[in-house]
Amino acid sequence: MISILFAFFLAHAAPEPRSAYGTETGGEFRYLSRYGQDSFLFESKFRNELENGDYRQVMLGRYRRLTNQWRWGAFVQSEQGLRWSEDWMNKDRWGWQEGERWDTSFLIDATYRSEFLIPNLVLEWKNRLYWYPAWDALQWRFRPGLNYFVLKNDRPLWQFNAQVEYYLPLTYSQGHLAEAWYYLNALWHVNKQWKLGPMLAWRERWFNAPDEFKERFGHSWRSRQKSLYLGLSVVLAESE
Amino acid sequence: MKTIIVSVFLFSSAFAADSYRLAFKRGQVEVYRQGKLLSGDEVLAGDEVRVGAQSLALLKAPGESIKILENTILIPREYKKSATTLIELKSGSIVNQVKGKKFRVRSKDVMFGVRGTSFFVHSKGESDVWMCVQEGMVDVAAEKGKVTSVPAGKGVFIKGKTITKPKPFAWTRDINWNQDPAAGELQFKPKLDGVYDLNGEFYD
Repeated sequence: MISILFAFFLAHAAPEPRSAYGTETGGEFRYLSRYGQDSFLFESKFRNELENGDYRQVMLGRYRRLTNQWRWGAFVQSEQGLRWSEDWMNKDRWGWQEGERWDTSFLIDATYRSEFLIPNLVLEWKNRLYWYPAWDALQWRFRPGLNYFVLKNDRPLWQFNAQVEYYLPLTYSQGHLAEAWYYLNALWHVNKQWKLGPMLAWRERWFNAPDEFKERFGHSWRSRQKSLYLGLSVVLAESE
Repeated sequence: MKTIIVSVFLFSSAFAADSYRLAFKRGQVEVYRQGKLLSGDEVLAGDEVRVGAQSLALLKAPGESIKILENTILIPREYKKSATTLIELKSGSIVNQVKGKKFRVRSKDVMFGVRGTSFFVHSKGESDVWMCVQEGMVDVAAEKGKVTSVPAGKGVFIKGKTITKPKPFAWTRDINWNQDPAAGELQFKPKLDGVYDLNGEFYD
Protein backbone atom coordinates (compact mmCIF):
# COMPACT_ATOMS: atom_id res chain seq x y z
CA MET A 1 0.00 0.00 0.00
CA ILE A 2 2.82 2.38 0.96
CA SER A 3 4.65 1.65 -2.29
CA ILE A 4 1.48 2.35 -4.30
CA LEU A 5 1.06 5.70 -2.52
CA PHE A 6 4.74 6.52 -3.09
CA ALA A 7 4.43 5.74 -6.81
CA PHE A 8 1.28 7.93 -6.99
CA PHE A 9 3.13 10.78 -5.24
CA LEU A 10 6.10 10.54 -7.64
CA ALA A 11 3.80 10.57 -10.64
CA HIS A 12 2.06 13.76 -9.52
CA ALA A 13 4.89 15.60 -7.71
CA ALA A 14 6.05 18.79 -9.41
CA PRO A 15 9.24 17.74 -11.27
CA GLU A 16 11.70 20.59 -10.71
CA PRO A 17 15.27 20.66 -11.98
CA ARG A 18 17.89 20.27 -9.31
CA SER A 19 20.66 22.82 -8.97
CA ALA A 20 23.91 21.64 -10.48
CA TYR A 21 27.55 22.25 -9.60
CA GLY A 22 30.75 21.18 -11.29
CA THR A 23 33.51 21.88 -13.74
CA GLU A 24 33.22 22.81 -17.39
CA THR A 25 35.95 22.78 -20.02
CA GLY A 26 36.21 24.28 -23.46
CA GLY A 27 38.05 26.21 -26.11
CA GLU A 28 37.65 29.37 -28.13
CA PHE A 29 39.10 30.39 -31.47
CA ARG A 30 38.94 33.85 -32.99
CA TYR A 31 40.11 35.19 -36.31
CA LEU A 32 40.42 38.96 -36.59
CA SER A 33 41.26 40.81 -39.75
CA ARG A 34 41.86 44.55 -39.34
CA TYR A 35 41.55 47.07 -42.16
CA GLY A 36 41.98 50.64 -40.92
CA GLN A 37 39.06 51.40 -38.63
CA ASP A 38 37.29 48.10 -39.47
CA SER A 39 37.85 44.69 -37.91
CA PHE A 40 36.21 41.55 -39.19
CA LEU A 41 35.72 38.85 -36.56
CA PHE A 42 35.01 35.15 -36.80
CA GLU A 43 34.55 33.38 -33.48
CA SER A 44 33.96 29.77 -32.57
CA LYS A 45 33.48 28.26 -29.10
CA PHE A 46 33.08 24.80 -27.69
CA ARG A 47 32.21 23.89 -24.12
CA ASN A 48 31.59 20.66 -22.32
CA GLU A 49 28.94 21.91 -19.90
CA LEU A 50 27.36 20.58 -16.75
CA GLU A 51 25.17 17.47 -17.03
CA ASN A 52 27.16 16.34 -20.09
CA GLY A 53 25.77 19.08 -22.28
CA ASP A 54 27.82 20.14 -25.28
CA TYR A 55 27.70 23.78 -26.34
CA ARG A 56 28.91 25.01 -29.74
CA GLN A 57 28.91 28.52 -31.12
CA VAL A 58 29.95 30.32 -34.29
CA MET A 59 29.80 34.07 -34.81
CA LEU A 60 30.65 36.37 -37.69
CA GLY A 61 30.59 40.13 -37.98
CA ARG A 62 32.41 43.39 -38.06
CA TYR A 63 33.58 46.13 -35.72
CA ARG A 64 34.14 49.74 -36.67
CA ARG A 65 36.12 52.14 -34.50
CA LEU A 66 34.21 55.38 -34.15
CA THR A 67 36.72 57.19 -31.94
CA ASN A 68 39.86 56.25 -30.08
CA GLN A 69 37.68 54.93 -27.23
CA TRP A 70 34.50 53.70 -28.87
CA ARG A 71 33.80 50.97 -31.36
CA TRP A 72 30.59 49.38 -32.45
CA GLY A 73 29.89 46.13 -34.20
CA ALA A 74 27.18 43.98 -35.72
CA PHE A 75 27.26 40.19 -35.67
CA VAL A 76 25.25 37.11 -36.43
CA GLN A 77 25.62 34.12 -34.15
CA SER A 78 24.46 30.53 -34.05
CA GLU A 79 24.56 28.37 -30.91
CA GLN A 80 23.86 24.73 -30.27
CA GLY A 81 23.21 23.52 -26.75
CA LEU A 82 22.01 26.90 -25.51
CA ARG A 83 19.66 26.25 -22.59
CA TRP A 84 16.53 28.29 -22.01
CA SER A 85 14.09 27.97 -19.12
CA GLU A 86 11.52 26.75 -21.67
CA ASP A 87 13.77 23.74 -22.37
CA TRP A 88 12.53 22.23 -19.07
CA MET A 89 9.68 20.25 -20.59
CA ASN A 90 7.84 16.99 -20.48
CA LYS A 91 8.82 14.60 -23.27
CA ASP A 92 8.02 11.17 -21.79
CA ARG A 93 9.54 12.60 -18.62
CA TRP A 94 10.39 16.07 -17.33
CA GLY A 95 13.94 17.19 -18.15
CA TRP A 96 16.18 19.58 -20.03
CA GLN A 97 15.40 19.10 -23.72
CA GLU A 98 17.55 21.58 -25.68
CA GLY A 99 18.66 18.70 -27.91
CA GLU A 100 20.42 19.38 -31.21
CA ARG A 101 18.71 22.72 -31.84
CA TRP A 102 20.72 25.66 -33.27
CA ASP A 103 19.64 29.09 -31.98
CA THR A 104 20.41 32.00 -34.28
CA SER A 105 20.80 35.49 -32.87
CA PHE A 106 21.68 38.93 -34.16
CA LEU A 107 23.64 41.28 -31.96
CA ILE A 108 24.98 44.78 -31.88
CA ASP A 109 27.99 45.71 -29.82
CA ALA A 110 29.10 49.04 -28.35
CA THR A 111 32.45 48.88 -26.55
CA TYR A 112 34.33 51.57 -24.67
CA ARG A 113 38.07 51.15 -24.24
CA SER A 114 40.57 53.53 -22.70
CA GLU A 115 43.95 53.46 -21.02
CA PHE A 116 43.32 53.81 -17.33
CA LEU A 117 45.22 54.90 -14.20
CA ILE A 118 48.62 53.37 -14.99
CA PRO A 119 50.54 52.78 -18.23
CA ASN A 120 49.52 49.71 -20.22
CA LEU A 121 46.31 49.17 -18.23
CA VAL A 122 43.16 49.39 -20.33
CA LEU A 123 39.61 49.67 -19.04
CA GLU A 124 37.05 48.05 -21.29
CA TRP A 125 33.27 48.10 -21.01
CA LYS A 126 31.52 45.90 -23.52
CA ASN A 127 27.79 46.10 -24.16
CA ARG A 128 25.92 43.70 -26.39
CA LEU A 129 22.27 43.55 -27.29
CA TYR A 130 21.20 40.08 -28.50
CA TRP A 131 18.00 39.33 -30.34
CA TYR A 132 16.90 35.71 -30.65
CA PRO A 133 14.09 35.85 -33.23
CA ALA A 134 12.92 32.26 -32.66
CA TRP A 135 12.34 33.07 -28.99
CA ASP A 136 11.38 36.71 -29.55
CA ALA A 137 13.92 37.38 -26.81
CA LEU A 138 16.07 40.42 -26.22
CA GLN A 139 19.06 40.10 -23.94
CA TRP A 140 21.60 42.71 -22.81
CA ARG A 141 25.06 41.50 -21.89
CA PHE A 142 27.56 43.87 -20.34
CA ARG A 143 31.14 43.12 -19.45
CA PRO A 144 33.33 45.62 -17.60
CA GLY A 145 36.95 44.57 -17.31
CA LEU A 146 40.60 45.46 -17.11
CA ASN A 147 43.34 44.39 -19.55
CA TYR A 148 46.96 44.73 -18.49
CA PHE A 149 49.65 44.47 -21.18
CA VAL A 150 53.25 43.45 -20.61
CA LEU A 151 55.17 45.01 -23.50
CA LYS A 152 58.52 44.11 -24.99
CA ASN A 153 59.98 46.48 -27.59
CA ASP A 154 56.61 48.19 -28.01
CA ARG A 155 54.84 44.88 -28.67
CA PRO A 156 52.53 43.04 -26.26
CA LEU A 157 54.14 39.91 -24.87
CA TRP A 158 51.47 39.01 -22.33
CA GLN A 159 48.00 40.28 -21.67
CA PHE A 160 46.11 39.67 -18.42
CA ASN A 161 42.36 40.20 -18.26
CA ALA A 162 39.98 40.43 -15.30
CA GLN A 163 36.34 40.76 -16.31
CA VAL A 164 32.81 40.21 -15.11
CA GLU A 165 29.92 39.63 -17.47
CA TYR A 166 26.19 39.68 -16.80
CA TYR A 167 23.35 38.50 -19.05
CA LEU A 168 20.17 40.46 -18.45
CA PRO A 169 16.94 39.26 -20.05
CA LEU A 170 14.98 42.26 -21.29
CA THR A 171 11.84 40.68 -22.69
CA TYR A 172 11.58 37.37 -20.86
CA SER A 173 12.27 35.57 -17.60
CA GLN A 174 10.71 38.22 -15.33
CA GLY A 175 13.75 40.46 -15.51
CA HIS A 176 16.03 38.26 -13.41
CA LEU A 177 19.71 37.82 -14.13
CA ALA A 178 20.10 34.88 -16.51
CA GLU A 179 23.82 34.28 -16.35
CA ALA A 180 27.02 35.68 -14.83
CA TRP A 181 30.68 35.07 -15.64
CA TYR A 182 33.74 36.10 -13.61
CA TYR A 183 36.83 35.75 -15.79
CA LEU A 184 40.58 35.67 -15.20
CA ASN A 185 42.40 35.18 -18.49
CA ALA A 186 45.91 35.46 -19.82
CA LEU A 187 46.95 35.75 -23.44
CA TRP A 188 50.47 35.05 -24.62
CA HIS A 189 51.29 36.96 -27.80
CA VAL A 190 53.34 34.28 -29.54
CA ASN A 191 54.01 36.59 -32.49
CA LYS A 192 52.24 39.35 -34.40
CA GLN A 193 49.52 37.01 -35.58
CA TRP A 194 49.05 34.25 -33.01
CA LYS A 195 47.98 34.60 -29.40
CA LEU A 196 46.94 31.89 -26.99
CA GLY A 197 46.27 31.54 -23.33
CA PRO A 198 44.37 29.88 -20.52
CA MET A 199 40.93 30.96 -19.35
CA LEU A 200 39.62 30.53 -15.85
CA ALA A 201 36.08 31.57 -15.02
CA TRP A 202 33.36 31.15 -12.44
CA ARG A 203 29.97 30.80 -14.10
CA GLU A 204 26.45 30.95 -12.70
CA ARG A 205 23.21 30.40 -14.58
CA TRP A 206 19.64 30.78 -13.43
CA PHE A 207 16.50 29.25 -14.88
CA ASN A 208 12.86 29.94 -14.07
CA ALA A 209 9.86 27.64 -14.34
CA PRO A 210 8.43 27.86 -17.88
CA ASP A 211 4.78 28.82 -18.40
CA GLU A 212 3.83 25.22 -19.23
CA PHE A 213 5.08 24.09 -15.83
CA LYS A 214 3.43 26.94 -13.92
CA GLU A 215 0.05 26.34 -15.60
CA ARG A 216 0.18 22.65 -14.84
CA PHE A 217 1.49 22.71 -11.28
CA GLY A 218 0.42 26.17 -10.14
CA HIS A 219 3.72 27.22 -8.72
CA SER A 220 7.16 28.31 -9.87
CA TRP A 221 10.79 27.50 -9.22
CA ARG A 222 14.21 29.03 -9.84
CA SER A 223 17.11 26.71 -10.50
CA ARG A 224 20.79 27.61 -10.36
CA GLN A 225 23.84 26.05 -12.01
CA LYS A 226 27.33 26.93 -10.83
CA SER A 227 30.51 25.88 -12.52
CA LEU A 228 34.22 26.45 -12.69
CA TYR A 229 35.23 26.88 -16.32
CA LEU A 230 38.69 25.96 -17.60
CA GLY A 231 39.45 26.77 -21.19
CA LEU A 232 41.98 27.63 -23.84
CA SER A 233 41.73 30.67 -26.06
CA VAL A 234 43.46 30.94 -29.45
CA VAL A 235 43.51 34.10 -31.57
CA LEU A 236 44.75 34.68 -35.10
CA ALA A 237 44.87 38.41 -35.81
CA GLU A 238 45.98 39.99 -39.07
CA SER A 239 46.35 43.63 -40.01
CA GLU A 240 46.44 45.31 -43.41
CA MET B 1 88.84 90.60 -33.61
CA LYS B 2 88.83 91.13 -37.38
CA THR B 3 88.59 87.37 -37.86
CA ILE B 4 85.55 87.13 -35.61
CA ILE B 5 83.79 89.95 -37.44
CA VAL B 6 84.54 88.37 -40.83
CA SER B 7 83.29 84.98 -39.58
CA VAL B 8 80.07 86.46 -38.28
CA PHE B 9 79.55 88.30 -41.56
CA LEU B 10 80.17 85.16 -43.62
CA PHE B 11 77.86 83.08 -41.39
CA SER B 12 75.10 85.67 -41.65
CA SER B 13 75.46 86.08 -45.40
CA ALA B 14 74.89 82.36 -45.90
CA PHE B 15 71.33 82.85 -44.51
CA ALA B 16 70.80 86.38 -45.77
CA ALA B 17 67.73 85.54 -47.83
CA ASP B 18 64.66 83.80 -46.41
CA SER B 19 65.86 80.42 -47.54
CA TYR B 20 67.22 77.10 -46.33
CA ARG B 21 70.59 75.71 -47.28
CA LEU B 22 71.28 72.04 -47.99
CA ALA B 23 74.16 71.79 -45.54
CA PHE B 24 74.77 68.08 -46.10
CA LYS B 25 73.57 65.51 -48.56
CA ARG B 26 74.30 61.88 -49.24
CA GLY B 27 72.87 59.72 -52.01
CA GLN B 28 69.82 60.79 -53.99
CA VAL B 29 68.73 64.25 -52.81
CA GLU B 30 66.62 66.34 -55.20
CA VAL B 31 65.02 69.76 -54.93
CA TYR B 32 62.14 70.73 -57.23
CA ARG B 33 60.81 74.24 -57.79
CA GLN B 34 57.55 74.42 -59.72
CA GLY B 35 58.25 70.92 -61.07
CA LYS B 36 61.80 71.70 -62.26
CA LEU B 37 64.83 69.95 -60.76
CA LEU B 38 67.32 72.43 -59.24
CA SER B 39 71.06 72.03 -58.98
CA GLY B 40 71.93 74.49 -56.18
CA ASP B 41 71.82 74.12 -52.41
CA GLU B 42 69.24 76.85 -51.78
CA VAL B 43 65.74 75.75 -50.78
CA LEU B 44 62.90 78.28 -50.77
CA ALA B 45 59.42 78.05 -49.34
CA GLY B 46 57.33 75.98 -51.76
CA ASP B 47 60.25 73.87 -53.04
CA GLU B 48 59.87 70.11 -52.76
CA VAL B 49 62.79 68.17 -51.27
CA ARG B 50 62.97 64.47 -52.10
CA VAL B 51 65.42 62.16 -50.36
CA GLY B 52 65.66 58.66 -51.83
CA ALA B 53 66.50 55.25 -50.43
CA GLN B 54 69.71 55.01 -48.35
CA SER B 55 70.07 58.79 -48.70
CA LEU B 56 70.09 61.69 -46.27
CA ALA B 57 70.00 65.48 -46.26
CA LEU B 58 70.48 68.26 -43.75
CA LEU B 59 68.49 71.43 -44.22
CA LYS B 60 69.69 74.46 -42.24
CA ALA B 61 68.50 77.97 -41.56
CA PRO B 62 68.99 80.33 -38.61
CA GLY B 63 67.48 78.68 -35.56
CA GLU B 64 66.52 75.52 -37.51
CA SER B 65 68.16 72.29 -38.49
CA ILE B 66 66.13 69.59 -40.24
CA LYS B 67 67.64 66.17 -40.80
CA ILE B 68 65.75 64.45 -43.61
CA LEU B 69 66.01 60.67 -43.52
CA GLU B 70 65.72 58.25 -46.43
CA ASN B 71 62.51 57.90 -48.46
CA THR B 72 61.19 61.29 -47.42
CA ILE B 73 59.37 64.04 -49.27
CA LEU B 74 58.89 67.44 -47.62
CA ILE B 75 57.95 70.96 -48.63
CA PRO B 76 58.84 74.03 -46.53
CA ARG B 77 55.49 75.80 -46.91
CA GLU B 78 56.32 78.94 -44.96
CA TYR B 79 59.73 80.19 -44.01
CA LYS B 80 60.93 83.57 -42.79
CA LYS B 81 63.95 84.03 -40.56
CA SER B 82 62.08 85.85 -37.83
CA ALA B 83 58.61 84.43 -38.30
CA THR B 84 56.89 81.08 -38.13
CA THR B 85 58.12 78.11 -40.14
CA LEU B 86 55.70 75.56 -41.56
CA ILE B 87 57.10 72.30 -42.92
CA GLU B 88 54.81 69.91 -44.75
CA LEU B 89 56.00 66.33 -44.32
CA LYS B 90 54.35 64.37 -47.14
CA SER B 91 56.00 61.06 -46.18
CA GLY B 92 59.08 59.75 -44.42
CA SER B 93 61.05 60.92 -41.39
CA ILE B 94 62.63 64.14 -40.15
CA VAL B 95 64.58 65.09 -37.03
CA ASN B 96 64.20 68.77 -36.14
CA GLN B 97 66.21 71.08 -33.91
CA VAL B 98 64.64 74.48 -33.36
CA LYS B 99 65.89 77.40 -31.30
CA GLY B 100 64.06 80.63 -30.52
CA LYS B 101 61.31 80.63 -33.12
CA LYS B 102 57.90 79.22 -33.86
CA PHE B 103 58.17 76.04 -35.87
CA ARG B 104 55.39 73.81 -37.11
CA VAL B 105 55.31 70.52 -38.97
CA ARG B 106 52.18 69.37 -40.77
CA SER B 107 51.79 65.73 -41.74
CA LYS B 108 48.52 64.62 -43.31
CA ASP B 109 45.93 66.26 -41.03
CA VAL B 110 48.20 66.45 -37.98
CA MET B 111 49.96 69.64 -36.88
CA PHE B 112 52.99 69.73 -34.56
CA GLY B 113 53.78 73.12 -33.03
CA VAL B 114 56.92 73.97 -31.07
CA ARG B 115 59.11 76.78 -29.83
CA GLY B 116 62.68 75.82 -29.14
CA THR B 117 62.89 72.04 -29.10
CA SER B 118 64.25 68.91 -30.67
CA PHE B 119 61.82 66.35 -32.04
CA PHE B 120 61.34 63.54 -34.58
CA VAL B 121 58.39 62.99 -36.91
CA HIS B 122 57.73 59.97 -39.13
CA SER B 123 54.81 59.75 -41.51
CA LYS B 124 53.71 56.56 -43.25
CA GLY B 125 50.72 55.30 -45.21
CA GLU B 126 47.37 57.02 -45.27
CA SER B 127 47.22 58.32 -41.74
CA ASP B 128 49.92 56.86 -39.47
CA VAL B 129 52.29 59.37 -37.87
CA TRP B 130 54.86 58.86 -35.10
CA MET B 131 56.42 61.72 -33.12
CA CYS B 132 58.96 61.83 -30.30
CA VAL B 133 60.42 64.76 -28.32
CA GLN B 134 64.04 64.95 -27.14
CA GLU B 135 63.96 68.45 -25.63
CA GLY B 136 61.21 70.93 -24.80
CA MET B 137 57.54 70.37 -25.53
CA VAL B 138 55.58 69.71 -28.71
CA ASP B 139 51.86 70.40 -29.10
CA VAL B 140 50.04 67.91 -31.36
CA ALA B 141 46.67 68.66 -32.92
CA ALA B 142 44.82 66.16 -35.08
CA GLU B 143 41.49 67.96 -34.90
CA LYS B 144 40.46 71.52 -34.22
CA GLY B 145 40.47 72.54 -30.56
CA LYS B 146 42.11 69.33 -29.26
CA VAL B 147 45.79 69.63 -28.41
CA THR B 148 48.01 66.98 -26.82
CA SER B 149 51.22 68.29 -25.26
CA VAL B 150 54.13 65.87 -25.49
CA PRO B 151 57.06 66.42 -23.08
CA ALA B 152 60.71 65.47 -23.54
CA GLY B 153 61.47 61.75 -23.55
CA LYS B 154 58.00 60.76 -24.72
CA GLY B 155 56.35 59.99 -28.00
CA VAL B 156 52.89 59.63 -29.49
CA PHE B 157 51.33 57.63 -32.29
CA ILE B 158 48.65 59.28 -34.40
CA LYS B 159 46.19 57.38 -36.56
CA GLY B 160 43.68 59.61 -38.28
CA LYS B 161 42.32 61.86 -35.56
CA THR B 162 43.41 59.55 -32.77
CA ILE B 163 46.42 60.52 -30.65
CA THR B 164 47.73 58.03 -28.09
CA LYS B 165 48.81 59.09 -24.62
CA PRO B 166 52.44 60.34 -24.58
CA LYS B 167 54.73 57.46 -23.55
CA PRO B 168 58.43 56.58 -23.52
CA PHE B 169 58.07 54.08 -26.39
CA ALA B 170 60.93 51.65 -27.06
CA TRP B 171 61.42 52.90 -30.63
CA THR B 172 62.30 56.40 -29.39
CA ARG B 173 65.49 55.08 -27.73
CA ASP B 174 67.02 54.32 -31.14
CA ILE B 175 66.66 57.80 -32.60
CA ASN B 176 69.91 59.37 -33.72
CA TRP B 177 69.51 63.03 -32.73
CA ASN B 178 72.87 64.13 -34.13
CA GLN B 179 72.58 67.05 -36.58
CA ASP B 180 76.31 67.62 -37.07
CA PRO B 181 78.10 65.52 -39.73
CA ALA B 182 81.44 66.32 -38.06
CA ALA B 183 80.24 64.85 -34.76
CA GLY B 184 79.40 61.42 -36.17
CA GLU B 185 76.91 59.43 -38.23
CA LEU B 186 73.58 61.11 -39.00
CA GLN B 187 71.64 58.23 -40.55
CA PHE B 188 69.39 55.74 -38.74
CA LYS B 189 66.33 53.65 -39.50
CA PRO B 190 63.41 54.07 -37.11
CA LYS B 191 61.99 50.71 -35.97
CA LEU B 192 58.29 51.39 -35.93
CA ASP B 193 56.95 47.86 -35.98
CA GLY B 194 55.34 47.92 -32.55
CA VAL B 195 51.85 48.31 -31.14
CA TYR B 196 51.33 51.93 -30.17
CA ASP B 197 47.61 52.01 -29.61
CA LEU B 198 46.46 49.62 -26.87
CA ASN B 199 42.87 50.75 -27.36
CA GLY B 200 43.05 48.95 -30.68
CA GLU B 201 44.39 45.73 -29.13
CA PHE B 202 41.11 43.90 -28.71
CA TYR B 203 40.50 40.30 -29.65
CA ASP B 204 36.81 39.64 -29.05
